[in-house]
Amino acid sequence: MRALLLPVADELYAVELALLRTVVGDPQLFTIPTAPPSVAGVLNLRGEIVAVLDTAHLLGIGRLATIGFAAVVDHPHGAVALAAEGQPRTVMLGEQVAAGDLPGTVGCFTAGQAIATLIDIHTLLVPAAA
Amino acid sequence: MSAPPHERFLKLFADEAEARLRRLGDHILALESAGSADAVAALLRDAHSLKGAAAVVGLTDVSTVAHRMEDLLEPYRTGAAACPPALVDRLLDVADVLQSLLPAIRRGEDTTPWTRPLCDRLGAAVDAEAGHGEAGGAPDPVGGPAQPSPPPQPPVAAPVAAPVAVSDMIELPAARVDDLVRSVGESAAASMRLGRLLGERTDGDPERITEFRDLSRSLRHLHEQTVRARMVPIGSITGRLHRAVRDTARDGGKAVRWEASGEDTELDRTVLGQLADSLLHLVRNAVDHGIEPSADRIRQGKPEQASVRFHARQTGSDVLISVTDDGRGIDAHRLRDEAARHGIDVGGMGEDQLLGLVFANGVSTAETLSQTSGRGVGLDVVRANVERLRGRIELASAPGTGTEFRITIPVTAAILPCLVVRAGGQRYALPMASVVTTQAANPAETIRAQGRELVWVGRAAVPVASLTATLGHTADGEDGPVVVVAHADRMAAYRVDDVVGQRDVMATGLGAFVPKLALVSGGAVEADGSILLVLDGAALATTVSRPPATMPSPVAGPAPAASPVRSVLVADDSLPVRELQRSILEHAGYRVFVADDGAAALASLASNPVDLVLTDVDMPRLNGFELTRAIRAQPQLANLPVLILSSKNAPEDHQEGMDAGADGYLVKDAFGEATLLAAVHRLIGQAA
Repeated sequence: MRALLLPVADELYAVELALLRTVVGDPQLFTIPTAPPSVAGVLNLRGEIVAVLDTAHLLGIGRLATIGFAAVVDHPHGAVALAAEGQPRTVMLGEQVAAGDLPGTVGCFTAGQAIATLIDIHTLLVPAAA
Repeated sequence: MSAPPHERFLKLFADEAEARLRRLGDHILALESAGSADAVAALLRDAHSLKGAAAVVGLTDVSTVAHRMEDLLEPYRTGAAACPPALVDRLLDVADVLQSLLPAIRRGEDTTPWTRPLCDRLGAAVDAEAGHGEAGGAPDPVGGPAQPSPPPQPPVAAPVAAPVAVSDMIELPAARVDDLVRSVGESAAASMRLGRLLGERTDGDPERITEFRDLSRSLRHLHEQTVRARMVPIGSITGRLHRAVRDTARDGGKAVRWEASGEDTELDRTVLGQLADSLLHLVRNAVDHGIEPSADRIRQGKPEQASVRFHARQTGSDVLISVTDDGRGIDAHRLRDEAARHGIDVGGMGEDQLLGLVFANGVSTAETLSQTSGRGVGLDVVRANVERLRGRIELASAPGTGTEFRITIPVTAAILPCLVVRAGGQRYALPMASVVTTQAANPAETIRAQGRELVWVGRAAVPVASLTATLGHTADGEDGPVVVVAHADRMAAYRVDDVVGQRDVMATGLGAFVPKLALVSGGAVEADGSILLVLDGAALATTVSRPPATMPSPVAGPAPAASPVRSVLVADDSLPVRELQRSILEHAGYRVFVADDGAAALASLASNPVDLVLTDVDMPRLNGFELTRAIRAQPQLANLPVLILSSKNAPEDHQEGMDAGADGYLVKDAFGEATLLAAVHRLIGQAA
């Protein structure tokens, strides 16, 4: 499977490339008062307001130190962005080498010389009203 | 008020029929090809839809014409035989005549002089076809006595020789509009980048460059117009709701009157599309299980004809939709038993909680099942749908009186008149519907009580807080103006850095992944690419405040900053009526408080002084006459003008109202925006 690798908290997380709409570098984030910590803010994606989520917080592994990139994915409930600290890149995921222990993950896969944890977008990203 | 509902329905019908008849003409032409089953099927669908829509708006003859078109086409449904040219001619003539009648239909004119002969001729053609069918011969749809009749002449508005009229409406795929919105957004982003570049190159403010300023202004306008293109009036689905009520009532042998108001209220088409099925379920449910059989109603002293009322209005960044019936209401005790039977713990539940059980899967008090409702698997789906749209649904019901479902739904995209303020260095938009007034910074006018700072707003001392701090940021000694917001009987004041100005804001939701927030209701993409957050005025009004204490203004102190806006308390137990009155009065610039009965109105007056009370008569707990007498009995309220607005129109009712101390008496039958405002102006003058 071709995937986009997101550098998050010194690890690599992967999302299926077919779900990706675009990657925004150095996104101009507008923070929302009273929003929960998983919502890093919103950005203007060609006139559309898109929520940018703190990927580390969603996965339960802390908070992102910085937000350098936002990977916008198409979810059945609308576009939403996963924040990453470093520049994402595409790879072909190899074999699975470990189970997915974190909520919203499928498992760990080889990604070249590295290991990436594949995110199950539909499990990790639950609409607020659901 | 805008056009009467029936006229609005006719216009909506004509707009829809125009496109349908155009398609119909194309399909008719395709009939002449052999193997035209698809064209016949499409034609039958359009004719069927036309028939239904015409019936709903009362155009019986048009409905009959469409029905007879269906009859004529039925033998060709399989596509085995091509339609004879004479039938094609006949159908094209029919489509032309109907098309030519649309302007007259829009104007609400009687079209039967043209449609009746058409019905007759088509009826004869259908009969002739049936006769041939029995004889086993090929149908001759044009035969029969109709042939010698001349074709009907359309109304003067559409002479036969007139040039081809080009519609002022176009249909286009929604995705194309969405693409347009995205492209405009991209242009705005490019403009923002250009502005930055110009700023860097010129070392100055790019807005000082006339060409750039003009470009920004044009893009802002373009953005607003394109987003507006996605909005559709709620009236675009009320025809279907009306039809559902009518059909369900006919199936159940019930007499039900359909009333709709607020159809001009606009919603994003996607939201409305997703809400439509839920609304259909609610209106069918109201007729099927809310409305009693006529005999029961008569026995209870109710009018034989029941009513189902639909009302919509925009309130701030939400649209409020209510479906109200005057039927039997919901029996909370039966609900409790039914819920207990399903294993739900109902111990300690209050009446409101018990009523909320109707939204639980499987719980229903319906005595019978129907095709549409009564299985207890509907309202739970309705609630889920509404919540998926980040809305909420509430229920009020009184046994024997009726039931009201009230849906509050955020407007995905709405044009909101807003006051833009700056707080903590950020700009925020406050919907004007919540803003009472603004006051310049004047420390001398602030007072302290109960450990908090207050400002005078008219005769009320209102708590004031820092907007920056309320939004969770660190406030750095704000000393700017104060913005006063209100909701129902709550009022609060917020200190801001400065007031930027008042303008329309194209508000949208923040997406499905941002939970419902306490103080932020949406956002708007600005022409410079930034995002302006829209605050929830109602939540701000209730977050830091208690009902403001009414106290005498300081005698020796500075003159209180009296609100320049005149206020009205509306008391009516019907939500749609209440909301309609509120809408009219707010639109005219009045500040409006509401109460759902006389007792609530009296309680409200104790804490919220107003300039006028507008009251219904028939209300629970304390009726309008009793309310008026109670007001006159209190010395501090004795001079408060009271205007009665009631459906009771007997001379003795008028007399009782005036005897109670009312200053005016309006009858709901004759009620209209102009009448109401004229009466209010007479009593308290213009809004400000």
